[in-house]
Amino acid sequence: MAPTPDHSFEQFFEAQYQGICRALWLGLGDTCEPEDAAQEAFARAFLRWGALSRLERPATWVFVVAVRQAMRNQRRRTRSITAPVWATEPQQPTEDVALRLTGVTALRQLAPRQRLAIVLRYYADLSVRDIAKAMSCREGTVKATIHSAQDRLRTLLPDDRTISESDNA
Amino acid sequence: MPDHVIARLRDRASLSYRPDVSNGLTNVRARIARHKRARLSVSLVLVVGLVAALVTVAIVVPGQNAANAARYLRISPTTRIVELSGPSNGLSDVYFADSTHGLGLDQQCRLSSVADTACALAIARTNDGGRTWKRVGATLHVTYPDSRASYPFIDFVTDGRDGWIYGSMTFVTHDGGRTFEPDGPGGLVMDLSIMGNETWALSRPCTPGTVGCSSTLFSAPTAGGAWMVEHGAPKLEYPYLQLLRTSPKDAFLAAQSTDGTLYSTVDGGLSWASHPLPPLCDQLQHLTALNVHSVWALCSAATPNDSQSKELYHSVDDGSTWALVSTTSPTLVPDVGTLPISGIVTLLNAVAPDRLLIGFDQGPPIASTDGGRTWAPQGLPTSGRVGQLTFTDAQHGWAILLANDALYRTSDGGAHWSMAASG
Repeated sequence: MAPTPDHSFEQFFEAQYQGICRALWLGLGDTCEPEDAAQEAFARAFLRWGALSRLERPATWVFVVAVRQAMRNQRRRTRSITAPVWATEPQQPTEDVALRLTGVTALRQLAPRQRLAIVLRYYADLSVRDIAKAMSCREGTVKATIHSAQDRLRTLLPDDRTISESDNA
Repeated sequence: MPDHVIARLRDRASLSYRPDVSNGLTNVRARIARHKRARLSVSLVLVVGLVAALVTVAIVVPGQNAANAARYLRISPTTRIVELSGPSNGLSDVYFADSTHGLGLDQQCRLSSVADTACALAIARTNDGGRTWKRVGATLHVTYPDSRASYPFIDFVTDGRDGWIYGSMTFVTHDGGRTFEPDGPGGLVMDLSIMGNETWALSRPCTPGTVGCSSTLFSAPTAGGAWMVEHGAPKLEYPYLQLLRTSPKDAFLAAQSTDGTLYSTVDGGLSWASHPLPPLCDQLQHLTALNVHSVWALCSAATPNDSQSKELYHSVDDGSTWALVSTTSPTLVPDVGTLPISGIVTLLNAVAPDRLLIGFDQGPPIASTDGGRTWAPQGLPTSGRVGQLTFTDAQHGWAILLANDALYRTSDGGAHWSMAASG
């Protein structure tokens, strides 16, 4: 009989699961198997829930673990399958126009690591330090990646002038 | 990144991608169960591994000590020991027929604490009292099954033709060491003694530490022939035994254990009598004798700091009764000599009726010329242990010093020594 996560963990799961899956999907695409990665991260979180539940933002820990797991999934899959990322993204012409300025289209045109960094920073609201942990790189690299991604987004979103230079600090 | 863009990202993601929360929780529960099983398996493997390691240590370490201890208890007219850390390469055992003619075992062993021990063995001959040695015949390549093997010793008859290399594996030669062939009664030959036409071998079919395994005494014609069991000999289970032959008919057999019994035969092994060892003998360490009517027994008990309480007893009636000759606690017993408490005895050798030698694991050997009552350091270099000590008569003797693998020679009964050859 499978153990039953306690009530607080279930609440935490229900509150965070979809957001984490979507962040992975946005940042890494389908090939990272977002749900698989998120479920693995939540399972590990349950095993140390006593300590994690006392953190101010336990979701950050799950995010970091999920991103690492998702990147492993992606490496595993792309070794054998060369399918393009975001394969399930609907490609309806009518949406393209509507989505052009939403950012999703712009995100597609970023480099994979830039896309992931931007999603984790602005969508998942992780700190630069946590993004560095998740992406297994230095904080300076994260800042530089976010900075170059912002530059790229400015050209892709010319109407937008509100991108804050201080966001990557 | 502007908030409206982020909001649109969220909207877009929620429209295009809807993770299944209920199935997700079910899957998470399954993963949790899997993780717990994996943790349990790892814990079990670690516990099993730890238990196996502890059992291995408990079995192997005492066994290694036992194998080492066995080498302390090799008593014969030629007293021998082996360095505890392993054999010294080079000339490791010598046999002298007289003051000039001798044979030596030249060994080169590749030691390992975990793997098999491979040795290249060859017989060397000297015709000048040990000053120069010349190899005889081909090299014998032997692989001992593990690092706890008993390292080889030799024994030869006085004409130098018939002889054995014995130990964990035993080989015989009948041409003075030019050729060898596998021989022996099987098992670990702990001692082998050539007296006249009959050679005896004390064999143990199992390694030291095996419970319920007893020794067997075999005999074979020295010139060659089958090994036969000496059924009259006592079968002693204690692994550390000594066979001491003083003539073709007379011999002693004893165990190091504290069962307090010495066995003797005066009819070539047909019958054996048992005698009580001295009642105060805590543990019999060494026996030596020139003949059956004059036997010395050195008993000891371990004390801390590399010291050892010692008692030397003498018997003139085949071991039936014993007299304390010297001890490390002379004040407790009147009219006995004094033995040093420091040092672990590694050899005891009777050279002449009243002349005895004792070697230690460290420091110079000591000698007595009054039957063991008084002792004085003898003239061998003080550094390192004497690995082997053998005398052909009361005057001529040889000693192998393990410190420098050198062979020393004396022609005045051990009062003065000079280096005969160096390794």
